[in-house]
Amino acid sequence: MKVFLSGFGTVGQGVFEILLLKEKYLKDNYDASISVVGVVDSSSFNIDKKSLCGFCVLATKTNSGKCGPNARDGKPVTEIMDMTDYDVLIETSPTDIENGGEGLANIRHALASGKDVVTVNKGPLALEYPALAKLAEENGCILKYEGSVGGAMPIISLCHTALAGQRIKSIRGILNGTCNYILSRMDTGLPFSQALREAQQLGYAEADPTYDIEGIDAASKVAILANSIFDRAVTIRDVSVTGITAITPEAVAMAAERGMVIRLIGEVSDDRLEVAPRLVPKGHALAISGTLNTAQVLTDLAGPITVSGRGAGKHETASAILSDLISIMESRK
Amino acid sequence: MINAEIHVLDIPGTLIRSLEPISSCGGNIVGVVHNRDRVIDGRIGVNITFSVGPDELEKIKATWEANDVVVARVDSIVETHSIDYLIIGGMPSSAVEKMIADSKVPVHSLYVRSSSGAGSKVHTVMVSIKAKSQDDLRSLDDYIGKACKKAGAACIRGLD
Repeated sequence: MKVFLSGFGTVGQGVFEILLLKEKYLKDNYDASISVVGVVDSSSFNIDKKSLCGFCVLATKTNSGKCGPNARDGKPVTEIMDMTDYDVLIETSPTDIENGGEGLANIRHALASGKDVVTVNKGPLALEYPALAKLAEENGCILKYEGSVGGAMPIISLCHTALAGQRIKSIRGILNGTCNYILSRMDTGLPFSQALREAQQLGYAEADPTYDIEGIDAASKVAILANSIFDRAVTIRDVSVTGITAITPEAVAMAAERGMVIRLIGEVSDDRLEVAPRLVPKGHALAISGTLNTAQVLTDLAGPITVSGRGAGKHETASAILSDLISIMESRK
Repeated sequence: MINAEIHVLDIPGTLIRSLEPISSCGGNIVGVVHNRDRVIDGRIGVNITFSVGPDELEKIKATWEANDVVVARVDSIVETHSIDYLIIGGMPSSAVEKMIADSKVPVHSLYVRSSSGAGSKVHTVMVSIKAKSQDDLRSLDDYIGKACKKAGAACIRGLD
């Protein structure tokens, strides 16, 4: 299977590393190999119609900050994608939640060209899921996006495969590890600003943490889950969003007195599509601390099912991409 | 739902006979606990939880009394649904209580506790509400959400 890698930041490099690490595993278990035939980052690109040397591309990126010898010179990624033949686009470019950015154009282009797509880019899905799903269907393509919600936490495949046949009544979850880290630290008495600063120092929060602390990142995941699991044609604009900036140490202390903690919870159910801080009883599956993502799926037959995993990270997110690639490989057999 | 404490004679068969008035009135017995270790004046205590219509309850009590069953206590058990809120902003506890009263939604019980930050314009108010139905809670939730938004207060809802 030939793949084109759009975006060569932390996750993109993680994908290449994992493909190298799992080369023998793929051969032994699936009698298949996955070759990267094209890679593009913000300023450069690299193409080999047969297969790029993973070690070489990764070394070049480390040494020069570029993924290859060719300068983009303003070329759109779609133009570079057309320079080579590939089966699957892996879209890992930075999320643009305002208008989907280049990632949206890349996914549209790949699907319109009859290529399967694996993406962890939330923006295009949160804004245009119904249109992209339709485009994939019209062109006989597979669109996979496990890593877009919860990184390594396999919430989407859990709902689609392991819980097949059940009615999913609701999904509630901690969908942003940054906010959960901040709120966990506030449990110990830290004020919001200090907990945020600590999260930034540890690399859990961006220099501009707006998307995380205002709940926008979690809202994009809620929109994706609503579309994918509940078959609702919604965008992030339909999600009611409240962030965590108003939470005070006093509020955290009062919650603790009543045996509760405050967590930022994303919820999809028949009557709710929201991200908001919620009071969660201590000991509840959603009362976890730290950067983990956790989701509780409420089903009609099995009751509540809880799944948890690392919501971000190089190999963690790349693991979800690998799982999607294998799923496509199996489907295309 | 009714919970009754009765005392019946410690004679074989009286326990079963004491339950018959409930079933003959179409009542639904959901729990019976009797304590044979503690016999007072030749009687044992029996605690019965059952559901029955309001008219039938009087008939049952009359039948018990006619059959030498001592009725020590009869209480009604109300099934309630609860939700908690933390309201952060410019609403003191009195304003929160008024807001809930203004909603016109029947509330079974209400707990309101305010932070002790004297002089502060930012109040933190913990509210625990019990209502008799989920529909009442939903109406209240909708009202509180809108009222807090209007007042510029952050409303942190419990998991329902």
